Amino acid sequence: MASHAQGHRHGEVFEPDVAAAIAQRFDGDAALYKAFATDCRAQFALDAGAGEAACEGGDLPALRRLAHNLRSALLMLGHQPFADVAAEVESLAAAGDSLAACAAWRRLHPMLLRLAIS
Amino acid sequence: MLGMSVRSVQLMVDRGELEAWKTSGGHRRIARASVDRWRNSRSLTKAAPARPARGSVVSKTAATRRTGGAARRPCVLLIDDSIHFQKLVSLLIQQRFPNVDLQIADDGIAGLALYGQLQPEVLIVDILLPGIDGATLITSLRSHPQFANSHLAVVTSLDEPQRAPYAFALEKVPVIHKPRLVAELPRLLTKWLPAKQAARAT
Repeated sequence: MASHAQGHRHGEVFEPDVAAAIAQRFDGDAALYKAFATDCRAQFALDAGAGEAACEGGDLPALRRLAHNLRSALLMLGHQPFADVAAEVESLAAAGDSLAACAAWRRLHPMLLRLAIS
Repeated sequence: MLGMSVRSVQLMVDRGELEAWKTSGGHRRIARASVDRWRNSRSLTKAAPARPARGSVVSKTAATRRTGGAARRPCVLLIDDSIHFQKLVSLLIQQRFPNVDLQIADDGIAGLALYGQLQPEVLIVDILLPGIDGATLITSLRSHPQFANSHLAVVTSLDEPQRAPYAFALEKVPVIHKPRLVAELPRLLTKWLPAKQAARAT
C-alpha cells in the first residue's frame, strides 16, 4: 500500500487526492471524510493563529505539538505537501531551532488559511 | 480527593501546579487552597461540549460524575490534545457507537483526574501530550487499583522507531497509528464494549 495519498495540482493550487484519502485513511467512508474535513477547515483558522502566537512568544514546545497534530490531520485529508511542511516545522521545533522552525511555519500558515476558506 | 496516584500529585507539585511543603518529619503536605484552585480551573476550562448529538454524549466536562446501575452507558475516555483527532473520534463514536458516552481530556493531568472520576470502560491515550506524556500517564494509571477494569489503547502519529523511548509503557498495549484510526479503533471498541449497550443504532 502506498504510504501517502498522492495529490495533484490544478494550476497553482494543490488539490488533495480525496479518493485515495478516503480509501486509505477512512476505510472507504466518504461521509466520515467529508464531516472530518468540514471540522478541520474550521479548526485550521484557529491553528493558524495558535502557530503565530507560538512563534511570537518563542514557545517552541507548543509549536512542535501544533505542527505534530497538523501533520497528522493534513495527512488524513490527503494534503501530503502541506503535511510535509508541518513535519518540517515539527522537526525544527523539536531540534530547538527557533528561527528555522518559525520560517517553516510562515510557509505553512498561508496554506492553513487557504484550506480554512476553501 | 483528586482521584489520582501519589506519583501524579508529586508531578503536579514539581511543576508548581500545587503548593506543597515538607513537615519537620519529612512528610509532604499539599495546600488545600491550591487543590481547590486547580479543581476550579479544570471545571472552568472544560465546560463546553465538543459535539453533542444523536444519543451519544460527547463532552469535555470535568464535573460529570458517573454513577453505577443498569442504565449506565459504556464510557470511553480519550486523552488527546489534538482537536482534529478529538473531532474524528467523536464523529466515529457518534456514527458507530451511538450509545457510548465519550469524554475528552486535552492533557495528561486532566486525563488522570477524569480517569479517577469516570472509571471508563475504555481509555484511549495519545503519546505526545502537554504536561506529562502518554507513557508516563499510563505508568501512573497502572498504580490505580481500578485500572484493571479498563481497556487501554494508545493512539499516536509516531511511527515505530519514534515510539522507542516510550516502549516501557506500551508493552501488551494495542497501539493504533493515527492514519489507521478509522479502520482499527471501531474493531477494538466492538471487541471491548458490551454489544447491546454500545452497538450501532439501526
